[in-house]
Amino acid sequence: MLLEVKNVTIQYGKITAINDVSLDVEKGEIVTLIGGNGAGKTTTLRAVCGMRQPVTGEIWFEGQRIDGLPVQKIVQLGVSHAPEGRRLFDYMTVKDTLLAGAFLQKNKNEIQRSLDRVYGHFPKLKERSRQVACTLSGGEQQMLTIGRALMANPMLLLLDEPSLGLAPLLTQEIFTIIEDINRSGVTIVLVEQNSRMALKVAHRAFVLEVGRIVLTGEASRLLDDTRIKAAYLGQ
Amino acid sequence: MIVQVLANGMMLSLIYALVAIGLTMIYGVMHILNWAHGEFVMFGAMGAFYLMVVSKLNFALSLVVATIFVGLLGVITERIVFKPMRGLHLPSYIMSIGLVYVLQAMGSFMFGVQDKMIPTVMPGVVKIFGAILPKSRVMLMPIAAALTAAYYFFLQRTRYGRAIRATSMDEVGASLQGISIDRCAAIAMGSGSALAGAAGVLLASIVKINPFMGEALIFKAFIIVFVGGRMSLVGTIIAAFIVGYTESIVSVYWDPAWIPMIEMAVLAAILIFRPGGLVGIEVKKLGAARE
Repeated sequence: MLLEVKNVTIQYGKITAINDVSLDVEKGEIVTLIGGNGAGKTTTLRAVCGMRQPVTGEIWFEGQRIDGLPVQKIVQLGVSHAPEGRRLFDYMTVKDTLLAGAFLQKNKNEIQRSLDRVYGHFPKLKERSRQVACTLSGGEQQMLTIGRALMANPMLLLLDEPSLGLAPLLTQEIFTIIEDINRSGVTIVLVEQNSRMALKVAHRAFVLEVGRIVLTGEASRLLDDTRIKAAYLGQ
Repeated sequence: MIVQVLANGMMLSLIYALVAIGLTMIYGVMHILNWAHGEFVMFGAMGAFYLMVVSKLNFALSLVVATIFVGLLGVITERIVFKPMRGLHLPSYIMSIGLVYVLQAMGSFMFGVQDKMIPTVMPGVVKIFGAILPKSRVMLMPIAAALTAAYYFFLQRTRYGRAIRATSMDEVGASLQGISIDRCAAIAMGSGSALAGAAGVLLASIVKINPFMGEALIFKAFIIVFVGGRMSLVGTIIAAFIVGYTESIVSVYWDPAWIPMIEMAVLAAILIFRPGGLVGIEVKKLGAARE
């Protein structure tokens, strides 16, 4: 088991964002968390990467307990996060942003290899390597966010709404790349509003409703589940 | 005359740039308006005086030692004074004003309140295009320019330079790359203070110094920072040149007493047309970055 979230509860002040959430991710999988607004998907990712501390519960990564560790330490262990809202460095060039993503990597050859790999997944970023982030299109910014997270050579990649605000064609392109990244050996936890797309690429899914996991199973099964169809796929 | 004005303007501009670049870094990374930045310049100048007059070191060595000393003072200040206030804008603002008086008092105790001068660094004059310029003033220019260039290189090309820029643009985004915001704050404050210290040493070689010399400088430095645009090194340097040249032109062709007013007018005009500063990076996400 690569990642195990055990009975985690997180509160923002007095409001409970996620309640007793448990989930597990195997090496090599794409696991998706789906659910409506405020269901607790983003909070779950934040808990895993250390941005939020659980009130109760435990988080284990590669046999090591990671809840309570600082974000930096968790990144170092091999968890990268492409966060909600992208959080790009607006006036930094694409190349510098990617190099900043490799901050913990000190070996020059390794950094170059990561850079080549990211440019391989996202040829557009290579074309725009000298442009500053805020002048990129929405799709390119999303690519840069994912590329930056990949620069740390993560074992586990957390993606928060990669399709947000993108045209259908671009969404398709991003999801194809996500599958490629997964095939290259990176385990992925994907949070999505676009449930149909997410269920198509994922191996397994967890469905969150108001802070609790209400349903879990193989993604292809959930795609045919009548409850899921009614609630999330608009059928 | 013209050459003299140009040379003097260049010298002032380069020194102001050194002071303002440090301030801009501290503001960009820590979101702190450090009113005590002028006092770090003063400690650089006083340090140079102490090292050259009391310890009999030469100018070059004094520059290095005083710069490092003021840089360390900056790091210590960050840890003791600003770190506990991180994210609290008003308290850190008040703390930095308090720091002005504490450092001025420390300066007065350590060095006395009288005006001081350091020995002439390089005697003699040089003739450039018919103008006669003291060597000790001319030699400041390459030193200040080299320090600025070195800092630019540090920010653009090194691992921690990128980390500092990233932190100033999006703290959350930076920390998700494994960048330590604490360490970046210490480096920004240390390096920014060190530049202020170096500027102080250079200033000491051309003007009289005393424990209160920072006060006049800090206003100019803040003007340069905001006219330049937040976290824009290039903008800061351009703004420093506008201030430096305004000063040198007004003092020769008019009356030095008018300098502050004219400077303010020029800079207010620039801010009216470009509220984000010359190289306009808006102050954005500051609130969001702290959620």
